[in-house]
Amino acid sequence: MKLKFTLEALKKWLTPPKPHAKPRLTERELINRESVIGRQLFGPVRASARREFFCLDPHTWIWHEEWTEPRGVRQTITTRYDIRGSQIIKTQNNQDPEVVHGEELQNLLAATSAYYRRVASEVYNRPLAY
Amino acid sequence: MPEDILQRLGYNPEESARRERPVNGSLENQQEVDNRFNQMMHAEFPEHFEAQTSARMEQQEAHGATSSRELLREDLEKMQASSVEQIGYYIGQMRRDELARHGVYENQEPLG
Repeated sequence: MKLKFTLEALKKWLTPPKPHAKPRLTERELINRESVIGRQLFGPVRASARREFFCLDPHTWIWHEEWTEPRGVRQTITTRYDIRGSQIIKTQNNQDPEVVHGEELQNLLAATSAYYRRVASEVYNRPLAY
Repeated sequence: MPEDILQRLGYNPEESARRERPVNGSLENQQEVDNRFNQMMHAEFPEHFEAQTSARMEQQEAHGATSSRELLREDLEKMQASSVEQIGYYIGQMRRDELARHGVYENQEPLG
């Protein structure tokens, strides 16, 4: 009896503690954290509206807006920016894609740059690469 | 939370991770990275870039180049697109580093 107790105690002592029940960090969770910052980049959002702006992967940025019109109709615009070669292609609500030029391209670069700077500092606590 | 948007877009974490890998290992080449830094800095400081491009335009016009303005606009837009892409790579790298810090690696299991 004493021996059994000793072996059990030894086994318990040798067994590593169970890992914390904390959920595993995922890329999706990091995108969620980044989008909290992304949605703030374009100014305040009305209480009934919703905005998301985030980097899906190095070749894809998403800008999503939702709001309710005075008649109560819910409107949604999802804009996807795809970098293909040396061009950026915009697709809005699955309409025909178009190449982004001029001021819009400049604004997109400014927005992605601001996103990077804030996310590096506020989500990852990392120094800027440029 | 953009969860629903990610779902609607058919977000696939494995595909996303695959797309994050630099093509032809270009990011492993420091010179290439430095060049892209410089391109981005040009895009970040358009006044400085404008001065450079104006000088280049004058030079080209002096040599009879008629479509120089259009070519420069195309150059500028290529640089801007490249800068947006580079920013995406930086963000992807930060995500990978953060996941690695939490013991999650790309080849371990799907990230999402």
